[in-house]
Amino acid sequence: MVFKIIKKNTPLLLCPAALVISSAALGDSMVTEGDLLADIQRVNSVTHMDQTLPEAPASVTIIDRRMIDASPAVDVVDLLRMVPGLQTYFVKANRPGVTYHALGNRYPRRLEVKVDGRSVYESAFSSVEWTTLGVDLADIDHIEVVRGANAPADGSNAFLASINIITRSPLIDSGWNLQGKAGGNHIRNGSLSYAGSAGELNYRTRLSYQSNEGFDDFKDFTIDDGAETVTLSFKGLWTPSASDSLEIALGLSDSDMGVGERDSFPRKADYQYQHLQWDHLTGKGNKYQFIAYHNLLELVDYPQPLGFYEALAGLPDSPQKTALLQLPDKLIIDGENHGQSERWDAEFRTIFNQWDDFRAVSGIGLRYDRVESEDLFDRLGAVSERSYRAYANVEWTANDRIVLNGGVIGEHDDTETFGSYRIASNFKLTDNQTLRLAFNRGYRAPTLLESNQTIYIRYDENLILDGSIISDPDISREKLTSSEIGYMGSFAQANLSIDLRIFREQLRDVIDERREQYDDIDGQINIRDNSASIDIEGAEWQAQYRPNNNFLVNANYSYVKSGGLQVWRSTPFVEYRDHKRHTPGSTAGLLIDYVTDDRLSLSAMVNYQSAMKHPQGAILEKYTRIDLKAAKKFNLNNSDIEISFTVQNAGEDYFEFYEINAFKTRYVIGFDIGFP
Amino acid sequence: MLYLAVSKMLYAAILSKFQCLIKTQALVIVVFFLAIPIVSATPNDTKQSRVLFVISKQAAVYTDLTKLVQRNLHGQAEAVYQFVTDIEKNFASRNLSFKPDFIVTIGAIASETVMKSKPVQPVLSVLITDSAFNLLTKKYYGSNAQAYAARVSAICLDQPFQRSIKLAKLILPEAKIAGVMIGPSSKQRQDDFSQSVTDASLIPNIVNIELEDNPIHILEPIIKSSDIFIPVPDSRLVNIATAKWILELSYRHKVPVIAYSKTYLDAGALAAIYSSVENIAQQTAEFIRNELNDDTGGSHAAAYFSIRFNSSVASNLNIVLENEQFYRAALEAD
Repeated sequence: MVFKIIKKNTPLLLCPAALVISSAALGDSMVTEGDLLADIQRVNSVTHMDQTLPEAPASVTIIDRRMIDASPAVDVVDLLRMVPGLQTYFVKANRPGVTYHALGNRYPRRLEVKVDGRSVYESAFSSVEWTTLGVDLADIDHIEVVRGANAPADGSNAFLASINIITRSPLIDSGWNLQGKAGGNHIRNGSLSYAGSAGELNYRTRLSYQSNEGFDDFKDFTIDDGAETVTLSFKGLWTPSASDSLEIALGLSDSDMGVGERDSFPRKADYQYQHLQWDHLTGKGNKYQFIAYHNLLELVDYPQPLGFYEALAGLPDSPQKTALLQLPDKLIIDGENHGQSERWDAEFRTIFNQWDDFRAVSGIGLRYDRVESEDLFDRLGAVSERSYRAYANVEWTANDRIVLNGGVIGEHDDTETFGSYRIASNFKLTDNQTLRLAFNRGYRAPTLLESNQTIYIRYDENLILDGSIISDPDISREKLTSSEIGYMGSFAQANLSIDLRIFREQLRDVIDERREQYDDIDGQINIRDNSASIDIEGAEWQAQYRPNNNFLVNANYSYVKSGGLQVWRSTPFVEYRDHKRHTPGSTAGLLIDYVTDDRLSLSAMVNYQSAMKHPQGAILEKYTRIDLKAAKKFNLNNSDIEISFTVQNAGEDYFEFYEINAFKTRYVIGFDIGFP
Repeated sequence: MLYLAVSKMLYAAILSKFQCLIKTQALVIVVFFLAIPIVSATPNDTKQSRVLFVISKQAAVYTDLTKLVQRNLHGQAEAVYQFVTDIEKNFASRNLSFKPDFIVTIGAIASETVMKSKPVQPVLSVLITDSAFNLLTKKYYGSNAQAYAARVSAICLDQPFQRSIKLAKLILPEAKIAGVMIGPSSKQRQDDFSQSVTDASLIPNIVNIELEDNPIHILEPIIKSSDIFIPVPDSRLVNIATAKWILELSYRHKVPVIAYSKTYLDAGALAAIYSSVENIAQQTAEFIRNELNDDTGGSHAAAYFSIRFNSSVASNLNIVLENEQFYRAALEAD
């Protein structure tokens, strides 16, 4: 609510940079036109500078509180269906995957996800564990999705796109809030929160519980991928002076869930984070920020124990098998794997904002990643890495019509140093229409997992029974070259906004897995190295119409054509496979919401995805999913109350990632009571 | 006889000369009147007023204002006025080459540059706050009165506080307590603000924010105990540093905010009353048309204003708003 992107252009708003008047020459005590007309808050995920959408060097989708309230979403990932080009899917019911345009495999790795600027990309899987995030839908103020590479601001993990989830300020709410949801799939969600103050510290704390039973069993497949998660979160705000603010976020979560591929096994995940951000605003409009955080994910997997003789029983008779049978029986998969993923990160940022036609942000950061998993790395100790980064983004308003953006980042880790950059020109065609041309060259370094992964099933230290996957010691960074033409228009007194993006993305040296002959019981191992090249081109658009406070229509469409080759097998002969079907050609979404004057909200969300072959997943048919929601708000004894009824997938079953994950119709009822 | 003959000859000669003179004069008069439109159409006619716009920066808000002023003067712009626009750093050389009859400064920096040189021509400062104009006139002319005597005028950007408080009362007639935030640059006018609130039949609840204060700690009790809240524009640091907290606290305590800019409105205020570029251009054009040759200058409040509402905030606060024209008519009735 408080955040609102400035869409209604007036001459005053179209050149807000011009309103920033240096007060140095005039004395700090004088109020100038710049003081009166300066912008309050805008989108800043693209460059870390506050920018209006027509100034930004990339396409951005904003999911604001109005859209969140309107949507039939039950969890955070459901909201991302409103973003063109973004693929959301469920590898398991509680293991969602999100990617942009391509490479939507079990652990999508090329999308940076942040919560209030804290990266939640986990080193252990080089992916995002959405279930453990601890972000409740009610906590979200808005989500900024940068559609396109965003390395100059967010680092190399933002290889294809980046998502920043901005949670609500502790100042917005007060008192107790109780929420609950229950329904199909045995969804049982509840949360209790309190917002208040202790001395000069304003805070909100939430205890939440979420559980579901996951996908139903499918034919002969037993699917046990339910989850039960308890989360405790705290967000505090202290403003020692008008120019300084300090935000602190702390969280703990404990999850038990079913994971795996087509099979399922239990996982216990304990997650915690500590996040601190200090902002200092100078009299000339400049800003200094210091951000530091720590994430720790501890995992225990409980796969089905496997005995040596039991494993050998599945193999055909051979001299090798006969020889192995001479060894005594023992457990080769002991049924309990421990893992740990930890990240420390600190960044100092300077935002230069005092000139009218030139603004800049620069930052330096350092990061320490540590992962530990005997299962994933075939070693008892930890694998760690220190990385350093320095970046700068500049925005130059060349004249009334042209805004130029440039961004560059240099990153250094234990093995290499590399840089990425972006340049963009925004041309104001008319007062309410902007054309953007942008070019990106980005690199993404192999993650700790990608450069160190070694999965063996051993009999003992000296005998490898089966090599599953190892990383090529020469694995190196991936490369992205992308260019785009973007268009933004605002019509009907800014009630209608349109965003169009035509893009071309070339990914080279993409890290994937190739098969190679290996001296083990199945004679094969997967080698992780730079084995694929992908070319992507297409177009996507989003449009939003809000003629008044009662009516909302949000539509999006994406067409993606991808091609390229992956080295599927390198020995004994080289075999390539095509990437052609690994992206859905078309995805589309439509959200319609109408709120009556007596606060009854009726909404429908329709999503379409064309047929595709999920990388590491199944070939799935196209589907159309329809979600419906009715919610009524009212006030009773000074308490704000909402009751809701949601239908997810109000039609035929469709399948998620694997041909066994049938998403059936779910009915969910919910309530939300705010006690002042 | 001789006398008569001489007289006739003399008369005839005089008549002849007079007739010739009349013909010559008539010709001169005819030529004169014929020449007027021709001469007046030439660019160097001394009857054409030369207006120099001095802008603070080469940026849209300033250049758009100059264009809108000229557009507001309709057809007169070409016939009566000659306009030139330049940025403040070129003022000295442009003043010499263009020799303007009248100078319009746009923005505080342009005003300071021009006032520093104390030009002989009348000066009108626009897109300037009341605070900036007062400070500059005192700095370069000694006092407002002396600046007015030197034919320096201003059209102030900030709205009269009474207008904001009256709008607040119109939007929320049942309101009893009006919270007002002032800062280092506006605290000397605290008594004026308090009086304006009282005049509107409201109880003033004024909070003064200093830069070293904890803004949330100070603002929250005031916002919480108010029925409506009005931040008074102050320095950029105070405005930006407090706006976010004001809006969030107003959301928490369901207290509507009457803001002074469109950006504040878009960020979450219920209503905003402000002078748009179009409003300022209209008043500037009228000033040039009607008061160009006044003997003394003066400071003029913003005569025209824009009112905008944030319907989603209104809905959230359960406030039913009339249309904009209703509030405009009520405010203009004063």
